Amino acid sequence: MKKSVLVILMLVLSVTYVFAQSVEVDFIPPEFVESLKPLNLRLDIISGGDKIEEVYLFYKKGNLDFTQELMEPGLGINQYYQTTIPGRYIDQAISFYFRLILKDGLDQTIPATDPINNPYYVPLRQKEKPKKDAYFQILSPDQEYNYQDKDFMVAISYFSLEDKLQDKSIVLYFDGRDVTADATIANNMLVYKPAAVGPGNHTIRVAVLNKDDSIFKEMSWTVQVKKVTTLQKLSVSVNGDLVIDSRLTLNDGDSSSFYFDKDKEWRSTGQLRLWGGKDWFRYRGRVYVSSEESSKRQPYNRYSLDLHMPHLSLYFGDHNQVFSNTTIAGKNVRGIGGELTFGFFKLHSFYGQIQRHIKGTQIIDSTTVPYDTTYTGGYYNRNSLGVRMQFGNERTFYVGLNALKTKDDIDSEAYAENPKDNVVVGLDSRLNLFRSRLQFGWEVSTSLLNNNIAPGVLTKEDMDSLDIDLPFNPEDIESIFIINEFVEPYKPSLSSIAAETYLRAFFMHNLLNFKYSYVGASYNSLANPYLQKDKSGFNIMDNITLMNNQLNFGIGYHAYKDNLRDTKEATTHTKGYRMNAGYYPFARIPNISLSYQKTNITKEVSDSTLFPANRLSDIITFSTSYKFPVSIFSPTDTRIVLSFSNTNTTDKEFNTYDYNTQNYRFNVISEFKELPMTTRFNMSYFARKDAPDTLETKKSNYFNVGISEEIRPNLFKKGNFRTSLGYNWTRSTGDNKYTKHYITWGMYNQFKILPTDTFLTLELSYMIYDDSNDSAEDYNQMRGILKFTQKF
Amino acid sequence: MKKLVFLILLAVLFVSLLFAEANPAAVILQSKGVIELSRDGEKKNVSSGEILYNGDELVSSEESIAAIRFVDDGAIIKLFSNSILTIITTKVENKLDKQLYLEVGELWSKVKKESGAYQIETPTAVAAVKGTDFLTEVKDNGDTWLFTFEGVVELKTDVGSVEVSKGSTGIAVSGSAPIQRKTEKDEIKEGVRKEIEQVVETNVMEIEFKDANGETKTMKIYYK
Repeated sequence: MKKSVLVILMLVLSVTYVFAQSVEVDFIPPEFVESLKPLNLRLDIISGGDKIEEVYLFYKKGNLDFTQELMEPGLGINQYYQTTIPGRYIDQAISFYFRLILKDGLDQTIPATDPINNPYYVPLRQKEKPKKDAYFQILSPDQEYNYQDKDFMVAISYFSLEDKLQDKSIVLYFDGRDVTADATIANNMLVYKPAAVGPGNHTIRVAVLNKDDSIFKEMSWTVQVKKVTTLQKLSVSVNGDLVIDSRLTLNDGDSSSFYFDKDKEWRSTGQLRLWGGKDWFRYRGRVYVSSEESSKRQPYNRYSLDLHMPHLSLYFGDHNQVFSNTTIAGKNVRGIGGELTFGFFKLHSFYGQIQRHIKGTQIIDSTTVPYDTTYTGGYYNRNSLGVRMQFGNERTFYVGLNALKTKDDIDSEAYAENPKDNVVVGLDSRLNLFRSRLQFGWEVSTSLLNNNIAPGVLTKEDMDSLDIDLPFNPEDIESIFIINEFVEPYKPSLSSIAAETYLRAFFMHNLLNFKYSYVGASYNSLANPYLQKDKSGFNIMDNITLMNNQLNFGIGYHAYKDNLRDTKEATTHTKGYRMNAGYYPFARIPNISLSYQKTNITKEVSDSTLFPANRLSDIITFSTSYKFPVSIFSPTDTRIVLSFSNTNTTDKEFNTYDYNTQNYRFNVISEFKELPMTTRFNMSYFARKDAPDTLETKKSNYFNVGISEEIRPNLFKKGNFRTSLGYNWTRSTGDNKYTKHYITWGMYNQFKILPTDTFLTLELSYMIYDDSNDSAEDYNQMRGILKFTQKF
Repeated sequence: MKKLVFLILLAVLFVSLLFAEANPAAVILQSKGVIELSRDGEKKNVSSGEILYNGDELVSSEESIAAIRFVDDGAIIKLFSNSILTIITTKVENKLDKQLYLEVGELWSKVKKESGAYQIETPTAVAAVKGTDFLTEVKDNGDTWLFTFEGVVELKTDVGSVEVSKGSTGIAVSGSAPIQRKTEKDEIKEGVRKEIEQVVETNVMEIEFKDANGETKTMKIYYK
């Protein structure tokens, strides 16, 4: 019996991270997303945070490509990164994963295993219809009218309570002040007009009191006035914010600690955003500067100004340009661009830098005569010119014609090699029917790439000596494309083509996504360097949502292969399918999700010196979570998460490996509602077994139990100013024994330098890490964070 | 004895009716120019925040506008310049029936479905609706013009009635059955049309409040 209970318990457990990873994180995916509501994602770093250079979120919906977003390091006792998927993007389930770029040049993904095909999947939940408040009707403020400032008022009707108000009194508070005496209170409504309403938050509370002053009914809300009256007088509206963020870290580590020889680290960023407009004119500007900016790498800083007018949009500075998936699909271009729209016709064009020059070094080998000189590390300025003509519109049907010319500026850098020239042309189209419930699209592009334009264009003499026969003189088209012996492909073929087609259908609670892609081995778009070449295949995924999106099922299959034209000695086939099911009820009962994924990668070889391969992997994950209010010694919102995953990876060809990893995790997170306290309990078990047929089975197991207690009381609070003191204690035992003390002092203030709001945050923290297994791993760390935000 | 009890009860009822507090019917949310209120024979100029009672009469002057919301949140109206409007309301269970009398001028109405009955009477016609958005104009000679923007409005005179649908104009002349035809360009005064269509996103105000389930909701308000 005990055994079966244990088995059931084990089955009800889950996973989000792997012990073997160099950075340990804590992340529990949200239960659901809501349509048009922003999704805030926070990745907590448990250990190894100082190895992180940057953290990116990759997110997508349906069959669309992943969108990349740099996550912002957060404020607080524990190190974390956060970002928000905008609400306007969310109209269906969201898939995402995290990519941690480490300082040693490596990267790590969360989830660790095949995140592109097996990302976190968060279903869409529709909002329950709000029940109408039967007691109070807010008559003003309301969005029906444009209020003059003098017209701002609070008008509340209690029309339906009218008959129950005998022997009762009504009180009204505005910004915490009892303004009942200044309000006009009638027997079914009240009206209050404040003398002046400044920008910022204003709280309003209305209550109907019984004779004994107990509350019969009450309602409260917060009014946030974001802009100021003075701005209305400007002919063009100005909105914006300025954020300055500066972080300093000082390390003091023992001999074996990761921080032993780490010096202080200081990073600062500043961002100014401005937007506004008048009548038909809109503008948006952004300046982002980072202390990470260096002439030795590609730019971190961003400068942009967008101007929008009827029929015309202009982009100056940094802008992510998008034509189609195979040409340019979000690459940052620093330059100028614009879109001209007239009815069914749109002309989109840009010119600018997609790579800036980086000074390289010259290495002279003086042991040889004459000197052997090599250049390393340098990059040329790479400029791109794009033109797209589109006929039709995105809501129904369009056809787009794309042309892209990208070329290295050979004079921009002396110590770089292989300057390139690239031309891409393409055609794409999309058909939307039944209010976008049926969407069909396709695109095809072809390219020419010159891998080294340094020798220049072929002359007639060169062609004769190289025995090259062309029907035209390459010198005649030198300004369009430089032709010499480094051109790829030398003769146009299917290898220089990239194509995609996709279908998205949403009918009867059924969302079907299909996508086929083909990218030839000689297809190159320098403006889209991440497109995987020499690969074709398809994926198909069907998701069914039932019971108002509470219940969902998904099933999908994908098959890809490379070496499309048999130009290589090995061909890799990747095939796999996945299934998932989830139940996310509205009611306060646990939610459940289950997924299974099987992938088979085989490598066929035509050269006997190479080895074939046949790798089979399957992953099963199960998780359940339950959030409920519980009183421990004070009311809390407590969430229990149990998760389990099992991964098998087998070498079917030679049986040299047969890995099995199992992750179990149990978390309890209690956030106290009335106390500034959070308790986290974490229990995890990781087991790995390596059992190849020919070798001895190896087993490794890790077990950890940790508890973390965080308290963060306010030391002082007056108006919008407050200071707080935080203490976080974490104790981990098992195979990874340590104790962490983290003390933080924070100061937060909201005030006004300009008529609009200013926010200032200062946090200082000190951490003591005590490793119970090896004291040489101990370290202390001090951090300081200053953040200044000015709204306009 | 029974007669005495009856008389006492009648007297109590009469006295209580005399001292009964009148119920507010609506509130002026926005005002521009000069809006004159007539109540119980007394006249005064009013502005936003003024509570309106059953039987109140409003007179708007040149270049004056008043936006009014009813206490049950069932309708919102906008009275344009040189107009005279009388507000009469009756509470029926938890709904408020509205009977407005537009003597002259222009009145825009947006009426919620499932609220109480809504009716505008003019010297020549009666417009009755359930959930719609329309403009009523009473010319100086008493002719009634009605422009429907959403839903359907029934326009009737003593002689007949017509349903004025979205995008149509109903015209009621004294002694004739009303007619309906497609709204023609420039039939609505420029100033009135702009006021109706006006949505200026100069300021955004966000209101967070908790509903009966304790869920936080956000309301966005755009105002000048």
